[in-house]
Amino acid sequence: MADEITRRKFLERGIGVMAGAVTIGIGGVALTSIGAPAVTNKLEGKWVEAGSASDLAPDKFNPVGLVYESKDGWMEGKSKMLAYVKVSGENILALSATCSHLGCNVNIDDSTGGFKCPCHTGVYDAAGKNISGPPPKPLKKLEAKIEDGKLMINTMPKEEA
Amino acid sequence: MEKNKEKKQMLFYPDFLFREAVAAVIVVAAILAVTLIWPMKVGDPADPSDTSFKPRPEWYFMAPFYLLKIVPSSLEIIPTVILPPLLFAALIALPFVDRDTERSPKKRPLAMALMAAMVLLTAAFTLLGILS
Amino acid sequence: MLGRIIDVFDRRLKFKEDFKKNVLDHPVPQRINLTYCFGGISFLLYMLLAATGIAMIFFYVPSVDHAFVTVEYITFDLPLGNILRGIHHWSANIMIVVLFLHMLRVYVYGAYKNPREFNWITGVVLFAFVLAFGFTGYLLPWDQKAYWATKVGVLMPQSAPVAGPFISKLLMGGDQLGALTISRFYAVHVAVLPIITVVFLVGHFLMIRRTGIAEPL
Ligand code: HEM
Ligand code: FES
Repeated sequence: MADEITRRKFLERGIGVMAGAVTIGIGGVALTSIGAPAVTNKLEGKWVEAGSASDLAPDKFNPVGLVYESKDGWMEGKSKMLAYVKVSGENILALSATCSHLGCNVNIDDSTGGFKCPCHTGVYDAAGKNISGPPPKPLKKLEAKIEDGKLMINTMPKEEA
Repeated sequence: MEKNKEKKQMLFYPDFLFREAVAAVIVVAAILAVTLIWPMKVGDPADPSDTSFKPRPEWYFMAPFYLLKIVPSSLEIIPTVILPPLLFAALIALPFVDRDTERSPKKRPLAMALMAAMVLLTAAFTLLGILS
Repeated sequence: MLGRIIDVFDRRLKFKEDFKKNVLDHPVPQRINLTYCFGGISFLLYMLLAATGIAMIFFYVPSVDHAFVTVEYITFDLPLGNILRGIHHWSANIMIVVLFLHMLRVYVYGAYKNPREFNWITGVVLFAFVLAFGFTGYLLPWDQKAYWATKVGVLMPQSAPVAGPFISKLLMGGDQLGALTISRFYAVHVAVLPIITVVFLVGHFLMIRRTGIAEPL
């Protein structure tokens, strides 16, 4: 009798262990591959030519659309982003238009020379610093230079303005 | 008195299902009507470099959207991370917190007041979000 | 005719009587009012969404290059496509309203109380699934409102301590809202959510069958 019960227990546990191991193993493989791109699918910075420097109005922000080749998972194609570029003499200030709050593109606010965000009314000053509303940080600065009269911008933000 | 009222019953099939079928036909007709009155359109293709578009969520996400807008950045985490799970946890916990077996709404003033407050708040935030 | 075919099976498999006893003849309170139909209407809307959704899968392609044009095709070129998409759109929006009313009815009548706690909990989970359907479906046309609303949505968890940025990347499938985002939203919208929703629906219905609809007050 006692023998019969332990045999039954053994079988029951065995079913549990086998079913559990297969579920965890296969489920783990599936879930890991689903989650993996969060770590592996990195966006890489690129230097992009963004038109000729003489087209930019001096001493004020100009919206500059950047189109660049990028790899996103399986897809190799064009990505787009927006930068605001201000050239004052030798200095170039290029800011990413992406709001530091939740990623909307900010607009130039003509009355202040700064920016405001259409999503949750975030406001930035002319240096890209967040001054009111939800944004927790300044706009991100982009590396920019002028080579042979051409404006070059790096798509990967380097630091906060 | 209330307790002695006879518990009259009908059958799921066909009594109850007939009523459901009538309601279903009305709903399907209504959906077809709105579909024909307001044909579907498409917007402009997604453009990450555009600034002319004013981003807005679906109307049923307007209430959290409006909260995002009015909460200062130091309290940001409340509408984004804390409130949504908390609301769902509260809903799930409800039957275990409210263990009183009284079911009549007339005898549950606190529960009714809470509900009215939640519904009004959600409606108000949704409206403010849509108007903003 | 249909009855004859069923009888052919029933003579061998004997399911008719059980089905009649357990499903069809189930007693329902007589004094129920209109508010009791919201659950059934939600289920009807779910079926409409499934039917029109599956039809659109035949044409829609979830990629950054094709999503918009395939939705355009469904909307303007495909015969009855506009109606197909319209029914899907309106059913989805009406379902939110009807579910809300269903929940309110259950709440007002105290129908979530013992022994129906788990009917309520499966209901709350279903409500969360329906919101997730709405969020993932909104991205699929890949138009301006889809892109920007989703961007704000996926970045919301970012403000959570420690895991926040990782959760956002998990939702996007990488650093940007792009090719992998649209394919994973599509997978969740047309495969993951429909399946887990059906599982919870079956649970919801079985529990209602067991406990019965709460006696009207
Ligand atoms: C896909 C979503 C849902 C469907 C298809 C659905 C369907 C149904 C149906 C057909 C009934 C029978 C009675 C009636 O129609 O009122 C019912 C009852 C019930 N539902 Fe839902 N439901 C859904 C979501 C929910 C939600 C969001 C809740 C609440 C959070 C909920 C809680 C309940 C409870 C507690 C009952 C029992 C009510 C009683 O006994 O009077 N359900 N549901
Ligand atoms: S995204 Fe700019 S304020 Fe929220």
